[in-house]
Amino acid sequence: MHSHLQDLTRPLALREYLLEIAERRHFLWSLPVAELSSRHFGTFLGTIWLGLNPLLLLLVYYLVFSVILDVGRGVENFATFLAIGIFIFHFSQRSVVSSSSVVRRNLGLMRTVYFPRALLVLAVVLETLLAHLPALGMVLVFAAVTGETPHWSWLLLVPLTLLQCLFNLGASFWSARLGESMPDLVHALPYLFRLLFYGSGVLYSVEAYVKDPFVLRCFDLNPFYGLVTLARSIIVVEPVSPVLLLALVSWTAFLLITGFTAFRRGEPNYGST
Amino acid sequence: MSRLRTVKAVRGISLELESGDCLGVLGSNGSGKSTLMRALAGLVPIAQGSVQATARPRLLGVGGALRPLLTGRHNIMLGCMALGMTRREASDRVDDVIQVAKLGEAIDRPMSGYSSGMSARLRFAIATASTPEILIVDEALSVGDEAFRRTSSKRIEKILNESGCILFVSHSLSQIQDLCNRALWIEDGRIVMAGDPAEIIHHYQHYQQAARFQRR
Repeated sequence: MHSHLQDLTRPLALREYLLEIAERRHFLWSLPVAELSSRHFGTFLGTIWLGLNPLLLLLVYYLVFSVILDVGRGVENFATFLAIGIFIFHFSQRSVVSSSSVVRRNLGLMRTVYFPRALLVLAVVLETLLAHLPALGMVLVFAAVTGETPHWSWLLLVPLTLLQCLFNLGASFWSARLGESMPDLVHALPYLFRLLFYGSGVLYSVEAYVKDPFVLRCFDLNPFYGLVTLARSIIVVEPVSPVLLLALVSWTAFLLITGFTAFRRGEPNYGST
Repeated sequence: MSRLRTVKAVRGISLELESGDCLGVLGSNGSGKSTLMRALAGLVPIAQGSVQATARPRLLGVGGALRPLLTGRHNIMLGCMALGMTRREASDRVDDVIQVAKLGEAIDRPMSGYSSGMSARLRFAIATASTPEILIVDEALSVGDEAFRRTSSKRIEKILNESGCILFVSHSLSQIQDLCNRALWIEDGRIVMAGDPAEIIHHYQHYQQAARFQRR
């Protein structure tokens, strides 16, 4: 009976770990659906809110910035400019903030069945993506309504969104790992994101305000600025900045590799207390 | 247990189990039972020694709801898929799991309203939804009532008959007596006795009485 004995004290090889994740792809798809439906549990409109939330937000922006105030701050179509910035930024923010408490939120599940815990983080990114897609679609409609001309190059948003998913995943692995060992992080993260929000040109055009070339370079290295600006370039059909793209890809690769490694290293302790 | 300090919770324990074995694990609170079980499941890094097994043990510990806002039924689906089943396989299993959990109409209510006994029943039913090769039950059945005890015993016997292997941590000596063919008693992270359940329970009861007397 001593055939196929395996050493359980050795961590799984990367390949086996990824295989275990692949085996549970049905679980990966049902977790976000479960999360989304339980979040809207008890509301009359249920998951319709997924589409209604961004729609209402867009209406408010339109009312405030295009009808009541006529502020441009150096931008032609400010309502669209703002809408893109906010929705793109929120997608990353939601992934990372939600992941910081994902281990704690799933203690009951982890204590009942074994599964690679990285699935929890993957599910968070998937869930925020599912909430982001209707918003992104509505932004495009909004852009067309407020004067932008639809163009086939809008399709570039597909690879950009995929890249953003990977970026979010890397950052989320870090926040899940750190949030598990330092629960206080959950409370500190919103302020970090508030800071990033103002530092990533979500509300204003960086080029219109910043003249110093050195400071502009610093903005270029901020991946959140990159995400927001690349999406805007695509929608207003302007050439995409290769510097921003390179910085974003580098950040994504760095966060994915280090984040996944850090998350796996902490995995034996998740759910122990 | 502090994260910053290394605690030697378990030392010098060596044991070997065959398929069809059911090992009852006894010991006072804090004797290292749970740590040992988590180490066997490969969930706690161990400083020395090794754990060899034919499959990764499935560990069922004490805990609350899986997903509090979801119904029991939805939680079953989720749990089955976490075990690696496809959506179709999971929905084929649901009725079977419901029968073990015996929750009546509560199965369609959110798990947040379940008592600890109801939660334990559902979690046990999910954890054994597919027959595990090695199952570790860490006090997860202590909160159930008599009816559930009978169903869970039946389920455990079925796993043993299908040449599974079970490690069973419980403070209920009668349960260990009924289900286990071997027993292990540990105190302070070391083996006190190992072998026949009836004999070990006998000595363990004497030990507990003596300890109670000393405290007085």
